Amino acid sequence: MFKMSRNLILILLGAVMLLVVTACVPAASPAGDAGAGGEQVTIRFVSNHGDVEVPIFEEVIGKFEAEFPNVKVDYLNATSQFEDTIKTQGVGGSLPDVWYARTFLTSDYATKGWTLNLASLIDRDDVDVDDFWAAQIAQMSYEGDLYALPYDFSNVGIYYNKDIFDEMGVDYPTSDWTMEEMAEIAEQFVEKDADGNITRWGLNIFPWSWPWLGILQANGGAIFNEDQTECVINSAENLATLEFFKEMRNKGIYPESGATPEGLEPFSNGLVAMTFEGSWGTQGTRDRVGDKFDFDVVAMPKGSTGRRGITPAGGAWSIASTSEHPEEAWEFIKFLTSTDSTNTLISDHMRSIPGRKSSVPRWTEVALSGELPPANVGVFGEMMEEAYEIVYPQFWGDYDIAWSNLMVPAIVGGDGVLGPAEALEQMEKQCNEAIANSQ
Amino acid sequence: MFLPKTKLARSEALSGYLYIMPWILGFLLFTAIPIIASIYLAFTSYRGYGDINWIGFANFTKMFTGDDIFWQSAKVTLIYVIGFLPPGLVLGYSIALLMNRDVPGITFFRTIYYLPAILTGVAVAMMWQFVFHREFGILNSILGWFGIVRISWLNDTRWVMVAFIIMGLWGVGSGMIIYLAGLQSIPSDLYEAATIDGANPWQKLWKITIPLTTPVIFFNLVTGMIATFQIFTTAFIMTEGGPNYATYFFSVNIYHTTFRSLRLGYASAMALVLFLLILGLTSIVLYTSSRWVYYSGGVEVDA
Repeated sequence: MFKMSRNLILILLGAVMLLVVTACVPAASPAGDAGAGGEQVTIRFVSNHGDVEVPIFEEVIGKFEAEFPNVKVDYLNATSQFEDTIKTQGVGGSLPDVWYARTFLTSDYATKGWTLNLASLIDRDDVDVDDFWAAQIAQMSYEGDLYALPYDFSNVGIYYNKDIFDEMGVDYPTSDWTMEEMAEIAEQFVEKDADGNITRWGLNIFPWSWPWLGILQANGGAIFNEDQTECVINSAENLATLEFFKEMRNKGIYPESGATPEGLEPFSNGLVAMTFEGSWGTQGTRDRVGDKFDFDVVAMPKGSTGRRGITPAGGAWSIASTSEHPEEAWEFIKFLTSTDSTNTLISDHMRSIPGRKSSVPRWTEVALSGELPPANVGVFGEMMEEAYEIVYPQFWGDYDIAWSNLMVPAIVGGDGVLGPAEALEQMEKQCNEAIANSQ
Repeated sequence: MFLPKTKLARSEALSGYLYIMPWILGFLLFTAIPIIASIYLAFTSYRGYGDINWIGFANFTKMFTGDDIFWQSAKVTLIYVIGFLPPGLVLGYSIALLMNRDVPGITFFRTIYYLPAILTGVAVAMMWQFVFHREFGILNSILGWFGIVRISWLNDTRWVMVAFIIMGLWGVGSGMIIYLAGLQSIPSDLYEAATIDGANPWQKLWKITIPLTTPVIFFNLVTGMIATFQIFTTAFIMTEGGPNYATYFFSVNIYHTTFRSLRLGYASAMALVLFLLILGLTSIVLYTSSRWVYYSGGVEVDA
């Protein structure tokens, strides 16, 4: 009898364990029925922002829930490995109802069928698409239909330290300048110590993949062919651009990799006189610089084609095609991207360029009222008018990995790394591999 | 044949299995079934969405004939294994020999040497980024005292592997503990007999110590080999596989292929190749072990 009951207890324990394990599998959409309106519905919303933005999102969510009392928004701000997590959830079929979809990934998500095609909903509800930036519409679309609604749109400008310019008696740069002029101006700020080590550079650049799409094109080079089925990055123009930057680096105009201290932001610490920085970086730079010096921003310089190397990219919101509450999710992203919400989320603190043109007046108002630097912040909006209309291809993830391995070392240097010519050759090869793999 | 014969024995066997049911469940759900699924996926072109199409050996053909990055990953992983494992084993063993002395404060030293083994992850990787910094890192400062020019540890395609090996060797403490256990199980009367016979310390090392610790050396070799082939975290955090794919280890390649490209079939095929490679090398070591591993007091195991 004793042995029987021992086995019985163990079997019961095993059954309980099984129950616990199956209960641990998260439900794709908790609570609620599929009823639109009237019945309580919960939608999952995931952002990928800094902690400082969470209360602002919560404010907007509060307003949405007040207007739509039958919908509850389950909000999560994901911070690490966000995009890899979304991909895993996509494969596992447990995507959130609404999530932050950067425009790099629109076609990636769309080709996998993870995001909802919003074209019919936009038509049905008369969403004012003309209020969006044309370049961003192109980035949020796949095969002509929109798959996301815009949050913000960003590009990169050049911030400069006015105090250092004054100290060296150099005139402030104007938006008329070219890349050669930028190099000449920056060279004047290079300072070395007694041992010949550079203690101040002229410029800090971004070696990332997406801003360079514009920089290369501004000098007449192309990256892909017309329909992005072939990579043509290995061209004479691109080689010239890379050689130009390499020469700047050799003169100490921008820091070689490993030259600046780890953990210290170069611009706010006076290590460089100018820096590439995004439209999203106004608030952060202001916080970091504080009272140390006065700074302003100027547009990206013109390349050999006479155009500026402006690559736009942005944040947007997508709905999961597997969402059990697409109607409610749609109402939510419409609310999130309304002019009012955009004012609250973006323009009120000049986070970056708002995704709606109708929110720009508010943005400009805030920019001018605070008298906070950078005074010339309107330049980001102006640059958006001249931005290259770039659509990020489906294989952008692979392109990015190849870029960081091959092109970034060619730009920022490092002993024993491939030089510009070999890097371009390898990059074209890997890029074409990526295109082939995505078929 | 294998079933227990009596009712009592059956009941006890059932109890036994029920006791380990939690582990069996976990093993099946999180290890066995995913591994089998992965082996299956290796022969498909699955991309995380759509149909799972069987394509036979196409993934493997592509891998071995049409993928430069695969060969680069294999090459850098092998370089790391060969560059780290033998020095790691020797260093761990040497430190264990030193730690086996009964001097005052020896416990303190053993703790110090073991500490790196319990520190892991992102914090360690970031600490090493400070150490390896070209201009302001400790390592280059110390080398500077000897007049050695500054090395760009993490941005030089030739030195980055050395940096990784140094990071690996910093963690030999975990192997050291196991060697120490082995060393302390050698009966001291063997040493006494050797002293009486007039053996010098070197002879004692080669004739007594090493032969009798071959079981722990074997253990550390096998576990070390398995772990070293799978190196991932430090490369992923510090260099993302670069510069120029110089630290693009097998696992980093598999991670990118899985989570960035979502080429799950191809990544499973790579994982299967890695599995078979480690399995093959481990089998070779196991097969040759009967020749050099001496189990004291145990039954001789035939190969």
